Amino acid sequence: MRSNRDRILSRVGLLAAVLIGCSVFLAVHLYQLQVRDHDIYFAKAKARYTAVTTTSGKRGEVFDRNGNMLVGNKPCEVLVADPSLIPPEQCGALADILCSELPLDRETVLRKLNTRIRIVQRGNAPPREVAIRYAVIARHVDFAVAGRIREKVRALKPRLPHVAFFSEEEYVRYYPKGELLSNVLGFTSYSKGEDVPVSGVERSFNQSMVPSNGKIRYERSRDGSQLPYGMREITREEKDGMNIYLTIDEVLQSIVEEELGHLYEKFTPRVVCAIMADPKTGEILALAQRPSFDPNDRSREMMENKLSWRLLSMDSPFEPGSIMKALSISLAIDDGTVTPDTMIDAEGGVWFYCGKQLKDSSRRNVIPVWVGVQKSSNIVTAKIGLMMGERRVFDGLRSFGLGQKTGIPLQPESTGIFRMPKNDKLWVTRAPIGYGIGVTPMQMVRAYCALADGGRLRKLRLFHHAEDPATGEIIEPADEPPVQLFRRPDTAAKMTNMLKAVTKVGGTAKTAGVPGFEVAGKTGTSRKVINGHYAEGKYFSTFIGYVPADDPKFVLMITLDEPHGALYGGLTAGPTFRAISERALKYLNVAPDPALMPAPKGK
Amino acid sequence: MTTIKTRNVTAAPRRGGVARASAGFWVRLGILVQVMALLGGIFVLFSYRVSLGEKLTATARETAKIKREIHELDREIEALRIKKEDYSRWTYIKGQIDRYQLGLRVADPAQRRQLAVSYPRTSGVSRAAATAQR
Repeated sequence: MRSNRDRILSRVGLLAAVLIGCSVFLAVHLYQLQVRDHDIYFAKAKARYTAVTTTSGKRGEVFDRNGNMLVGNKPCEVLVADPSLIPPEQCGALADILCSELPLDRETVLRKLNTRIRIVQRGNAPPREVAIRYAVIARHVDFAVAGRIREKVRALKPRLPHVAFFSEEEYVRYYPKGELLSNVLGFTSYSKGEDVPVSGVERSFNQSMVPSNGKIRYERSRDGSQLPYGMREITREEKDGMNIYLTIDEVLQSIVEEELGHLYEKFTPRVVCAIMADPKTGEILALAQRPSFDPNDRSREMMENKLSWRLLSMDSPFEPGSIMKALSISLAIDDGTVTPDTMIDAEGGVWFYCGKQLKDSSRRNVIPVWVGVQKSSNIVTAKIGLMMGERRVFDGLRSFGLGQKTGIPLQPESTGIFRMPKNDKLWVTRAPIGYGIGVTPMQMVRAYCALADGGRLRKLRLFHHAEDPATGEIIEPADEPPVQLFRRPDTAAKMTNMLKAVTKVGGTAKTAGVPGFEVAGKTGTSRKVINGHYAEGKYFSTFIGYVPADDPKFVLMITLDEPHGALYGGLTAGPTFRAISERALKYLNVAPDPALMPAPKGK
Repeated sequence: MTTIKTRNVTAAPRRGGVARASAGFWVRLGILVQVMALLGGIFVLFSYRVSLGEKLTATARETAKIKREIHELDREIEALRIKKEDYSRWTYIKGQIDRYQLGLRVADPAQRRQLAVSYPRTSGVSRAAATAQR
């Protein structure tokens, strides 16, 4: 018979066995959880309390050659509310704060704050109600204004939970100079949190300026917000886009745009554009157009008025008219066909060739070539074309870059219309005077830069350099050597001397003369072609020149499309050329030649 | 009948037992002190670790706050940079010139004089020093 002691001992033994068994089970389970499957469960837990967010670097900025900002990124904020956490009685006070700082409609704000549920239906599933936890109240809110709103919201009684109303940082593309250079800079639109380039530098340099996204893994709270002192691990570094420096000089650009604005008001043309370039480097110093636009204004009217944001000096070819004569005659001088003093019969102002009439604006008979240039004689130039022959005219004008791209990295760029038609005997008399071909203003500026720089043809440059904002590394474009167009070393100087006469007494553009400086230039007036026919009463009026003529600081071309009140380039563009040149030369610190200064009145 | 087994305990201790008992007391006391010292050490270490952790958290909090402030200042600098560019726009400057009737105009290059400044080459006086004297 078992004693009490034995029974107690057996029970204690059983209990001990159960306890040991439980302990062993727990130990084994603990081993499985903490050792064997540790990584799996750790990863699961980490996935629950960590979140990954994508961060974006800043889009590259645009500067002029002196480092003045032309396009930047303005720090702004998005104001967001979680309507489910805002008590209905506080919506009114919150709306009042927002409407006192921002131009918002109070009713719209209240509707957003009070809409707590939306109905969602996916496929054939029955519709269900989903709580709205993220309602955007306003975007692109100024940094300082958002700060003021935050302060006022914090002061609300009773205090709102910090996740009920918060702001998120963002950057908005901003053009601090407004209309200045807007046709060149272009603009971006905003879609799905990203800047989408639409035109201009923004579009053409997009690949360099676009930032790369980064990724951050962070510890989050139950409501999903980032724990301020929790783990924060950058899994991929974000990278800002490259900053682009243009060859544009902001001061010269401002001068050109101001004077162009006056010209636009005076002659009310459809379009007026101006290009200023340094002939010794091919760098574009200013490039302006009217009408233009303010890229900060994204109104529907602006977006629909495409004429105002196209860059017509690059994408719109026109018949250049008489400004082509300088190129044709320089070729004839270079191959020895004529000299400035060669006498040519101007036929009294009317000449028939191949049954077609060609007229001059002045009636002259036998005149030297230089007078033909000064008076812009079509007949003299056409006869020079005939003397040169079709092939030489075509090859020579093509060597000036006509029919080719200019090197400016903006899109779209037209190459113009420059081809030698078969069986057209008239072409050789029309192309040298700028008819029967289409060129862009940019191509003409490139050609005149070659004339101004002793016949050295360069590609034009708008891109100065790019800079990596993180490292300061600078990337410069490859330097291409110029092409020498003329065989005779004095060809360019002879042509320049003839062009000087154009801006003097007796020339077609004495209004373009700048006191104290020699100006070499040429006027041009050409009829406008619409749907393959010359339009009645519609003209292009142009002046192109360089100053000081013997050591030019810039080439400047001004073109008016359909001016009203005057036609000839000497009357329309000439005075503006003078006004811009006077101011630009002062800015560039080019001293006038006292011998060329006009005598004071009364002496 | 239940038999109760008893143990015969000697009433008088043996000789030398008192000395051993006294030594055992001191050993036990020594062990107790050592254990208490060990526990005290562990407590101190633990407290130090807790206080260090607290300091670390406070420092991390301070760092995060300063980082946040730096970030805010960076954004403020960016906003000011944009504002500066706004104010350096020619149309704005011209508007201000007209508004305050300042009558400013660009100097004519003919009005400017360029002065060639030559530094005297005196013994012991360097060009930099001469510049500093000026």
